[in-house]
Amino acid sequence: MVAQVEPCQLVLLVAWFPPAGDEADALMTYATMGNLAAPGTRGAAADPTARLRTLYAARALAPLSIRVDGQSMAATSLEVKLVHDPPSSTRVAAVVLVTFDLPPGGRGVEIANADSHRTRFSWVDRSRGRFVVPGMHAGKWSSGVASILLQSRSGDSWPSCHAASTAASR
Amino acid sequence: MIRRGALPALAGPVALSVLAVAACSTDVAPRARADRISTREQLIGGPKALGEIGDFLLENDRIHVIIEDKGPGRGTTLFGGSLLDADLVRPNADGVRGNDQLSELLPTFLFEVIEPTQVTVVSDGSDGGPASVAVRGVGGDLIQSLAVLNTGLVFPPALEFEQLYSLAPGKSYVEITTTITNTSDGQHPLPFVDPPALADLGLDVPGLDQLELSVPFGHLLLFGQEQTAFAPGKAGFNLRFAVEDSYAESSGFPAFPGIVADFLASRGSGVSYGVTVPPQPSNYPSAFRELYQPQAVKPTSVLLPFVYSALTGVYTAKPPSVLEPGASFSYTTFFIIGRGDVASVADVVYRLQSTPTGVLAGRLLDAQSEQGVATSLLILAATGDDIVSQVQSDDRGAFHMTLPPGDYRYRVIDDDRPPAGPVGFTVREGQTTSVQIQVAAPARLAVIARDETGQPVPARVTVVGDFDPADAGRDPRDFLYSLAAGERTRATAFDSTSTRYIERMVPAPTGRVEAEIRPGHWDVVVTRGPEYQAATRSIDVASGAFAALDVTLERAYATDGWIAGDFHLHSINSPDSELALPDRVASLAAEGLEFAAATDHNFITDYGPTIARLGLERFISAVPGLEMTTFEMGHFNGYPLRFDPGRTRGGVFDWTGRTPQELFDQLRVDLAPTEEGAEQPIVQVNHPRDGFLGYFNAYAVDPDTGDPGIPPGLRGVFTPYGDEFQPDAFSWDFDAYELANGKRLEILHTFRAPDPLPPGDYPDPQPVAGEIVVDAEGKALFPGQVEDWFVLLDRGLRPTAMGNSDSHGILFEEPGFARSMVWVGEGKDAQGAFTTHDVMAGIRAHHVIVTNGPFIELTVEDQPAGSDVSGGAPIAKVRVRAPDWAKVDRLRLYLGGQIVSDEPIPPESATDYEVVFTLTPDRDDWVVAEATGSASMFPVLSMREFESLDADVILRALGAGIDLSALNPSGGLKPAKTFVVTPYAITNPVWIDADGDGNWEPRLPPPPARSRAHRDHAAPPDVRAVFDRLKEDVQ
Repeated sequence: MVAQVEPCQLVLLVAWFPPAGDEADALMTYATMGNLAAPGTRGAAADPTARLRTLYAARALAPLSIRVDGQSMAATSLEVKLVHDPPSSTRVAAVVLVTFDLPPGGRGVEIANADSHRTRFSWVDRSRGRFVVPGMHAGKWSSGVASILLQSRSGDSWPSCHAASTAASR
Repeated sequence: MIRRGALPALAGPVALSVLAVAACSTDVAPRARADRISTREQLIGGPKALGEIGDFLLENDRIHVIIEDKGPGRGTTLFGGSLLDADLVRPNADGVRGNDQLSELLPTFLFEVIEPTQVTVVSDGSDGGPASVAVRGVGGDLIQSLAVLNTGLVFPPALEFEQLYSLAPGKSYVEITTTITNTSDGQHPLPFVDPPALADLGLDVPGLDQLELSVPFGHLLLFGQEQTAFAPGKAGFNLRFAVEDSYAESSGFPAFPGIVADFLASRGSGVSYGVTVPPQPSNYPSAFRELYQPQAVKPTSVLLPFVYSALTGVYTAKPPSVLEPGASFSYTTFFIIGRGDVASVADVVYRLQSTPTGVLAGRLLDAQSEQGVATSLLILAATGDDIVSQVQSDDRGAFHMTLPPGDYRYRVIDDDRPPAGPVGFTVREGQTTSVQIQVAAPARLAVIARDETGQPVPARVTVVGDFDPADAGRDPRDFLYSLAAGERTRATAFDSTSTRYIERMVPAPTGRVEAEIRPGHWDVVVTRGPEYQAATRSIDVASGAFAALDVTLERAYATDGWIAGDFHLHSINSPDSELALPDRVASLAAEGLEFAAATDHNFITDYGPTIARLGLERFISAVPGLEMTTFEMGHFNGYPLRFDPGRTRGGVFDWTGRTPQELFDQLRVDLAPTEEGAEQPIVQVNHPRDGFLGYFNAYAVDPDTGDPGIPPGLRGVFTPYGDEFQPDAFSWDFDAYELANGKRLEILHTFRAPDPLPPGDYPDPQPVAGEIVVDAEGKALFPGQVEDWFVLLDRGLRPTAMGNSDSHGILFEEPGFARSMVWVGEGKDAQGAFTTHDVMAGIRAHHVIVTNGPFIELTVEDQPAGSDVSGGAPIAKVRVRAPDWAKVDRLRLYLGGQIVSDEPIPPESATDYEVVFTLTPDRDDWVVAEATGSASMFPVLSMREFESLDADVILRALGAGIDLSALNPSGGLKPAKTFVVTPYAITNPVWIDADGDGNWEPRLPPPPARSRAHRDHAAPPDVRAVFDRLKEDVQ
């Protein structure tokens, strides 16, 4: 998982690989068992790939919670791609891109991960250095990180998105 | 005592056991089913199981097989679609406890294979008929080096390929129908071009205008190493040598060379496999019946053209000379699964070929205990050397087999009991011949090995005997053991004046071992690697008797601060090794190894749990690793790696179609351990000059400059064509360099012509006795791994020289020979005192000694190998110590690749020698010390008695019919592949900054700058862009 901090948004890129064993079997069965939707069902609900995409995305994001100053955040956009990893193999992985708007006046963004033992984590600063994660350098991978706190470098609340964008563009 | 009689005369227990063997069928109603695998419970499991969810299952009431989905090959070969796993249906099978011992089966068209585009269930069996799975695809080059032949003779672009696997209810064989279809608008000749036209493709060899070629079709069968291949006739279980010997008797093309057999089978523990064909007009051997004489050819014969490691070629069909537009050609093959012996495969062959049979049944009993003996009974023809079949008795000694009516002989083949037989018997159609056979009891040997403190320590027990002096100088295969009969190989001293041979090698991992041996007079040699002297005791044991030894080992030299490591090891997870993990780990401890990297072929193995289960944590530790094994690019180790127990191969990786750098990145980054503080894996290039398997050979690395290239002349034609094989794809981005691989002394140093030069006609430039053998451009034809490494050092690269065994077994491939002694720190050379980090840091710092026995230490200005020193006249000290069985007699000192000292070591100093040099480098340079001995290390080590398996055997098969002498510009002058193994050790360098400017200037220009900024270290790019670029490929 990579957390990218931008002036206005927090972007998470999560690559999720189904675990081995029964859980993987259940997921693959779900993916390959064909259309079990009720007669007349159309669209995504009838498309096994779409259902798998939804399921994998939910599984990928389930361990994560994003809070700004203790308040849970709702995602503003979510995209999912299913890929074979490695290419041409039978292993299907999901790559999820999810974004959160950073409300003006916040002081800290907490990213908590309930599945930290299976996750490699890194963060990217695309806010021109306005954020820091104490004890963790941007661009470095870490494992077993259950929670990180993105803070304004100044220690104060961050300015409005517009102001930050303007500052960042100079 | 041996009794024979008709069935009514059977004793009660014999009759019961025969009935038990015969009553193998179950009450389950016959059925067959084909399905896409969706749960792990549907997998087969077993030592060689590679099936995954998403593959295809064919099963009935007797057998089940797995056909690999399309995509990169998960087995040994490049592409999916192979029959990957196969086993009998067993009670309580759960996807793990099966007994698959098959590596892979796939169709082949000359050397072309199918690159699948589609794998589908054609019939799921629900109609009560056969279930079937089809693999369809286009042609793919299994070996790019042979593409000129595939293109010229098969021309796959105009063909479609299909492999249909069908399994009928109640059958213990898969019927395989292989079809090619001409998809072009024109006729498709086979061979596609006339032989002279091959010259236009680059294959410009003498005699093309006279050449008549054929295009054999068939299968490649990769038995797992647990399986021993068998062909009825003179070959028996001696398939490899029988096939290679057949080349000398070949009549030449159009009949491809090899041996003709009624069928191909194998034996193994609990499962065996076989291949046969129905009578077909297209039968390949039948098409050239006269050319294969005196070999007998039947309408159901198969041709076995080459055997390489676990890979056996089986050519069965000759396609029509012209395939009309839209026309197809099909041939049928039966793949049989038996119960572990040849007989259970042959039973099916006889039924398929409607051969009338009778039954041979009975029991094998121990003469002393009268208990049943599980062993092998070999069936021979009534006269002559032909071997007909082999049957395995069960734990109660019972056996049962069918044979065509006739007179035969049997022999009991048991490696630890005195030989018995042959005894004649007769089989009559529809009747049972019963026998009860008593076999002499083995002797037993128990050994306790102790170290200097009196504590039991891991050790190896080698049982050594003497054969009849009258046989001295003869090939031991002709009198000491019979490979054709399936007997164990006994290693000899490889010395025409010696009668010594190794009867058995047994690890004693806890310091205690008990083993069965043949009765006789033996020397029992107890060893514990090079740091201990060998201890020898003599015993005489009779049949059924027992001998016990308590042996204290004497330390040969102390290695404070150093640990003994082997960073290239194979086990049962490699297709070409049968060594179960406990046996592998036991063998490592027995050789005094303290650290190991498990490096199976394309399989991440973790010895850790096995070490714990055997209670050997006090003696040895290990890290998971992998030998990334390509077909034509070379072999590369990574260690330590992340082991994923949820993956069939311990992790997810792919070597097909990748550049070396991509392989290195997979090892170094993708498979890196993820725990905090974990080591970044070391990437090690293995045996870089090992023929077809060597990375430096694959890229024709210039021995003078270290630059990759393309070989000249015909050698360039037999070179892979893919982008990944182009010289600019070569990468120097490796951390370690396997300078010493096993006992491959012949590839250590650049080959020099023997002195005196053997008589013969040699192509120009004429070789000079004692000088390096060169090609027309003056380049060494057989570069040495030491000299290649020197060139890398001269170019400013610093790969650490390593010594590893590359062991796949025990005898002939004793682990730890060679080995790497790694400096881990003062007082830290005990389990628990050093860490994996210490070992890896030692390797990265070049604090490594390469050795197969002697312990050589180099210091310059009191700084150890791996150090940088400065100054104009530094003092170098070298000390060599060795056990009595690895004495040294010569010491060389290299400065910048030049020998600056080459002096004999006095005999009185052969186990401890020390010398001081004053170096006078005229520029920045490096210094390395090397010690050698000339005495045999037998019987502590077995000798290089047989040539190692070499993929060149395929070219040798071709060479039986085509003049490929241009592939060997030395005119047959080449390094000997069999020899006496002698002591060897070399240090890593000390780099000398002669001018003291703080900057070490390489002698040669460094290689082009390549990205060593591994992906893991690079700053992650914009994740939105990453996501946008990602192409969704799941539909």
